[in-house]
Amino acid sequence: MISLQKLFGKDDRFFDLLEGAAEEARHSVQALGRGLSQPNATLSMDEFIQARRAEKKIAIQISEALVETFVTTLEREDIELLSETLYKIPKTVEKFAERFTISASLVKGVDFSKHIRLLEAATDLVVKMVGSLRDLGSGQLDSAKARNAKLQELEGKGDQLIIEVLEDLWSGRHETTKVIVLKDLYELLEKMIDRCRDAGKAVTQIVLKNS
Amino acid sequence: MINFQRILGRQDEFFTLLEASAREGATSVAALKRTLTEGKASISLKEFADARRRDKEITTKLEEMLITTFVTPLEREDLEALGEALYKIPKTVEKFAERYRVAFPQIAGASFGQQLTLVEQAIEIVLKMVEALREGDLGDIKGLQNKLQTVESEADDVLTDFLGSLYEPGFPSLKAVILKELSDLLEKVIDRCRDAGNVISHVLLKNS
Repeated sequence: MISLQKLFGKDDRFFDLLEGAAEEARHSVQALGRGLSQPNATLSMDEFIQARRAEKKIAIQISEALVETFVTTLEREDIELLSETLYKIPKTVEKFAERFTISASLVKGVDFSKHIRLLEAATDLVVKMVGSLRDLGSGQLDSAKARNAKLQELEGKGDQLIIEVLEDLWSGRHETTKVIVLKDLYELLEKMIDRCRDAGKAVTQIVLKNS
Repeated sequence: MINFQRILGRQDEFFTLLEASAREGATSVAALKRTLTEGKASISLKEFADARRRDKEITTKLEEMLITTFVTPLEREDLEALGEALYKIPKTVEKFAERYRVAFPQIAGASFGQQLTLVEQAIEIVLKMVEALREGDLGDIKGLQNKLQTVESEADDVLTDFLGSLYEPGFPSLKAVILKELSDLLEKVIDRCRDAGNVISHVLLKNS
């Protein structure tokens, strides 16, 4: 029997999945923040691997639902792009945690809190923006643009932080291996903020198309 | 009332935005040349930030027009890819300038002359290619693309030679790390020019 519901869309399912993906991204950043805030921080990889796996599972469900569904409110490529961008957030968090773990002795006592604060603010905005997709239509564009501008601002602050970090790392006061390791870690944190910005941009484009 | 102009396209506006974006790239490269030639410790980032900001506004406008315009002069994804590649030129130049400024005390005296010459050549070619796109001068685009490929390949060789000098035993390690980062960024500027050229050549192929 042909399921018309299946053919003509299950938009709620897409919104649920995208919101789930945004939540997983926020969850992994929160876990990183908690881990790094401990004195002599050591990160347990399990939580990050699980968050990334959960996100991957959602991304696969979205791909499958796109194949099965005939009509979607949002354009297929927009759903795919947003899902892919959201997946990259916990993936990069996990990558950071791996690098942090293998360089623990070199990075002991380093303060990443400024980056984490930016990241937490960025993922909060991403969750709100993805949640707003359920109410697509007129009147949403201004709010999406304002949130997107805020995300761009956070990304700009992230870029500025990296320059401050490099000024210190390249001052000649640190051992070169430590410089290489810390630069790698800070760049991964910056990349997470960039991925949040990409997600915000993807949502804004969807809202613009539907306004 | 239906606005037919909006629905049926604002063809010229797309080309105007792309040319403006390529010119911002050229502006930022000109600022880079002044900075590297003067070799002063006090480096102003304003020119770089301004060029990148203006380019961002242009790219955002282009992206919005792609969504709100019904008929576009070239395929949407090509316009989007070209806009994105062009924006990355002043963005990467600014990234270089920011890093060069904070690294200056460690690398004073280092020369990026050869790479800079190639960056200038690359952006000049890209600007001509974008202008040729409006004219539909396909033959010209092909010749320019060949030149751009040559510049990009020459830049790869220059980078390899430069890295060879950094990897010499006894070269100060921190200085090597910094110079590698900076020379990689200059290489990336040329790669972004190549990307823009590739999109334009792709358009040429589709329309030939």
